Amino acid sequence: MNTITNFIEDDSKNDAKNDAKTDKTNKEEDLEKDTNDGHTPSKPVNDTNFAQRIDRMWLDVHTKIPHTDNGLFIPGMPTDYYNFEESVVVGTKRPYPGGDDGDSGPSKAPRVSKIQQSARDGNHKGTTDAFEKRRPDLVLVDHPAQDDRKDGCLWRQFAVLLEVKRDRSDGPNPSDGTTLTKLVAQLADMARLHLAARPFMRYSVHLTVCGAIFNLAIFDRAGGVVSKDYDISKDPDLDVFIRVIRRLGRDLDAYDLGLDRTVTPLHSLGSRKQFPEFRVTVGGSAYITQGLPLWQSASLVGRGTFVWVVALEGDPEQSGKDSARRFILKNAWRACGRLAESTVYKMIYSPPKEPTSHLTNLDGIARFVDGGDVFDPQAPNEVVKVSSHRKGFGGPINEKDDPVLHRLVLASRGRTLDKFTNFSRLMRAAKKMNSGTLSIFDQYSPLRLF
Amino acid sequence: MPHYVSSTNINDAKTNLKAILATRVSYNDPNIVDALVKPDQVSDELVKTIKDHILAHQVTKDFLGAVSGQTVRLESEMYKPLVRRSGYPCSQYSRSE
Repeated sequence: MNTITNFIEDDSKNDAKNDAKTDKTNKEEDLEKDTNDGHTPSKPVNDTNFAQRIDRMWLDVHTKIPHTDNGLFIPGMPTDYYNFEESVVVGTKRPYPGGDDGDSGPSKAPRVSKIQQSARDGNHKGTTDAFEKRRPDLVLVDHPAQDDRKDGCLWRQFAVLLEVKRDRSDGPNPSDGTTLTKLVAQLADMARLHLAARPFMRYSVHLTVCGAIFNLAIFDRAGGVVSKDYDISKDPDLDVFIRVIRRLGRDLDAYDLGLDRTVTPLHSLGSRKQFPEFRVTVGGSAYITQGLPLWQSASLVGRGTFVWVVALEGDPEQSGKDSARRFILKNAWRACGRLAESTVYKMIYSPPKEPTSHLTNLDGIARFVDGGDVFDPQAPNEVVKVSSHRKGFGGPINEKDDPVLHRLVLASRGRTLDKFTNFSRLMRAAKKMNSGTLSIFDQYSPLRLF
Repeated sequence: MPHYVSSTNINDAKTNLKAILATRVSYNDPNIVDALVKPDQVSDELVKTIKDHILAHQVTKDFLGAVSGQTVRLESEMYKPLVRRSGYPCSQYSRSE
């Protein structure tokens, strides 16, 4: 069975040595040994697609705040970890979201940090700090052997999150079958952070162990699904638990655990130092993400938007030059009943039926390159929806409420306000924004704003 | 310093989570484990080996008994954590065992 490592232990030097010895050759040998123990991995190792490299370990992180990459800001996550960790006593863990009423749940000891208590007392500038102190109990992380475990772990390294409660009454399934339980709210809260920190995820996978009951749950852009209860104190369900842990740790690749099957990570998803780049296909072209996302949504239910700077792969216009052209990639789940954003851009850039002089000014509107709904590689005639990964489980999803994965590429790239060096340039940018807004309203609204 | 800022409001996110999610979760699903994880693809022989290994240790048996009887102590009451002080990546399981 997979072993568990606690971050706060000091005797991890030997573990690091063991890690250093675990090179790629050893992993391949392990896979071969697996086939000899009567079990065949579900997928072969693919040397070029890091999503299919399976190198994971369980970590006990319940006393440690997982980090995000330096420079990546996700609402709900701390940006100054040193100050946060100084304020957190061992075992301080925020049990449920929105629990500003001090209810720490029935089975957790009342462990409250100074800042949390201060926020509740109204003596702090806000409750944001309390909201930010969230972390799972254990996590299954993608973990390249060369990374030192002492560096801590990042949210984007999490493949599976596990929450532990002492009593089975704290389980995720409500007694009446419908009411949102505290544990499910807690899982969803962590799921939204997980989906914001780990790019291109369709869903977030969670395990819960409450007393002798374990459950599997997923959360996606349409909500969540929680399994029935399995009792590990009874024999058939203990077998299921062993099988599930084995499958999650050794067999299922990143795609099976929620990664969008239409993207290819070009670096290890578990690398501590290298934020992975992704190869993303839009239309007939492939683009490579550059560095951190410019912006990502932190909401669970909704569009789950990611915005990236991307480089065109094999750019013919830049052949022989040092760098490829840069574009903006927007990746989002659109409500299927609404007009696709790429369609709106196509409408804006389509020639008007009745040419007039004031309808041709599109200066200030982002230049559209390509885009549309994403098609499912496993069912080429179908677009990727939430219902695509819920086949065989979960309640029926209303056709009008089934988010569709949508992508578009824009040629115009703005700049952040802090990059403007003088006031006149800022005003020229504001004028351009205003002219773009005016053009859109001129063309598609009977109302004239100006 | 972050290279960008966000307009997402934390309070809105909390409200969104608790209000919208309430009607969007399916409970007691009997099929999600089989459909998503496919546990049957693990061989019976391997499961038996692991289970025999787990149940061979009195500490583990006692722990499972405590879990079943809901008598597991809180961490603050424990003499030492019930987690191992060292570990190996999942890929090393076969070799270490």
